[in-house]
Amino acid sequence: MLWVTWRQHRAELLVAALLLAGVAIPLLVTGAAMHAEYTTDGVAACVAAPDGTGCGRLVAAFLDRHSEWGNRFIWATLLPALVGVFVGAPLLAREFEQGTWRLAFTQSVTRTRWLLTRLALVGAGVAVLALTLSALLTWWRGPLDAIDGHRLRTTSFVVAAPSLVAATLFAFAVGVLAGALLRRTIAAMGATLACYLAVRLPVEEAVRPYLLSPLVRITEPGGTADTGWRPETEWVVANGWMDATGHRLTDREEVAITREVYGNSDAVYGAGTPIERYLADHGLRHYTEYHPAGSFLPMQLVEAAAFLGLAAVLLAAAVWIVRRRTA
Amino acid sequence: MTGESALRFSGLGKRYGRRAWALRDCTLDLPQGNVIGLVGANGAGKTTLLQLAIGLLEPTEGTVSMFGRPLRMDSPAGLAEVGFVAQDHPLYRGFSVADMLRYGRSMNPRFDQAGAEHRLRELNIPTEHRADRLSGGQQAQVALTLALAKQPRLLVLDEPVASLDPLARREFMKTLVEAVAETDLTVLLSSHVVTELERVCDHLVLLHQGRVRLAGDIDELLAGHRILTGPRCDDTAGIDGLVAATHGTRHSHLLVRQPADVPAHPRWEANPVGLEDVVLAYLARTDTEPPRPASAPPPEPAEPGRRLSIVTDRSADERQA
Repeated sequence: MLWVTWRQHRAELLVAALLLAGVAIPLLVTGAAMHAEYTTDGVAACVAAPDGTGCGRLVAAFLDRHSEWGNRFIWATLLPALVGVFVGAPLLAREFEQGTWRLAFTQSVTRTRWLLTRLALVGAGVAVLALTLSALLTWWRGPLDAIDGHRLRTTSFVVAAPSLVAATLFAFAVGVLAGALLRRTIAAMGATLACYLAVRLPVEEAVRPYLLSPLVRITEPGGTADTGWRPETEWVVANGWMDATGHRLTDREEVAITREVYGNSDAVYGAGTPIERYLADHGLRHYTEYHPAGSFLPMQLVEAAAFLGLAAVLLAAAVWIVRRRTA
Repeated sequence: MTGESALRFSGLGKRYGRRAWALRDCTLDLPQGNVIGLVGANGAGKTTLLQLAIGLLEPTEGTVSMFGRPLRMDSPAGLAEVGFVAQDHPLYRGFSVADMLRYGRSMNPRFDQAGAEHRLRELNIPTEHRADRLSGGQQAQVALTLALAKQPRLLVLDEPVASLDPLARREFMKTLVEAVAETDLTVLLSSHVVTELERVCDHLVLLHQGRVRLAGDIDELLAGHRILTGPRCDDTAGIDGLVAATHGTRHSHLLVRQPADVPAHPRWEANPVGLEDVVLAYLARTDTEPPRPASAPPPEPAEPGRRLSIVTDRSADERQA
């Protein structure tokens, strides 16, 4: 079974290795240069001692040069989709489409063992692939993450190992199940992409901010916290105004107040602005819902557990279907 | 080892979803060590019966036992006893013939690699070639070689020669016959080419519209049927064991289920019958009740052995309902 799995998937393994090399070489070259710049330019020293002179300008220049590329790592979210479509979907669909399942199911290996062996080996392969890519990207982003200490931001979050590996295994499982159900490679590939996006996009947009309940901070109007050149480390998921009873003002109410204070001109924020005086006069306060930087690991683990749980359910369903599948 | 049962079906039926029954009321005892031919028109249920026999399908009703034990296709030991060649002889795309052999070796505890290589050499099939680039006949030979190398006790072939040209057909059957001659392998193969079966089979099962219409040892079937020729006679109601009647302008030919040695009425001239005539006569029948053998229907033989098994249709009325 080991040899059979290797023989059936060696082409996929080769393509994956080539793609990984194609990504890894530029990452290693540019990453090494950036890491060197981080220490020699004194940015590392600024991060260690934030009050140093000229740090604001130095760090801003460094971020200007590198954060754009660092943010493009969001494309790493394509990896699960690629794995689901090109590795997961054909795994069973091709056997059914080409009729080779009749050959496979009449050898002396039970269907359950046949399937579990292949799922375990190929699943381990894609997990290693995702882990390698995650390690590379996380290493590259190291200086950027050290500067702002804010790994909850989307790019840092989605390339982190627990999230990326779990999402990749989830997409793989979607592909395997689609192949078992649809029995046509192209149809299974399309269904896999659609199902993966149907789960992943809402997770990004709506689910992740509430994987853990956010903390709430209430501040009096008129005060602004100045963090200096260092960006916020918190992930703010909601903010606004609330009154003395704890009622949170709706968008409509906020717009009404802004109009009242400024007419139709744009609002200007800051401690001495008319809007802050209005808030103070009317007993309104600021509230902020946020995740502290320390929530990074718990949120990673919650998201990974959710994706892995779904993957396990889908793979179990695929095994059940294949065991029952006949003619 | 003939005489013992290789496959026994009792009350076997299969229905796909809520559609009509693909196979119903199939009760058969297939003797070990025989080459058993399964004939029937397209859609008669041949593939269904074969896949039920090896557990690729689950029966809707009834049971299958293989070599005296209930069919267990979820155990490696059960799987190892059966070789199967599907209708389109599937091989993995991109695998070389050598890869296919290695596939067989790593998927089976018992695999006759040397024998398989020897057979492929004799057939002039180069093992370094890609299996899916071989001709249809060679692909069928590779699939058969794989199934034989597994050293099964039962080999099941679903329409093995249907897609092959006449030359490849003969080559394939030759490989099969030679392989069977060396062992006490039981072979169950389906075909709609009766002449092909007549050459290689000892035993015949005829399926029509999902039911077994005739089953038995071919020699006994031939001895138990004959053609009566005589002046035209349109009233055939009184004739024992009539299977089919064809009427010319002046003569009638009746295919009847009568022992060849029983004297016929003097108005008829009795002639022996060929297998193809018997098969076609049964396939042409539209009713569901097979004719009972004329004069002294054979009682249930005490010894299983080479016997004529007749499967009667008990549920014709149920099906009408």
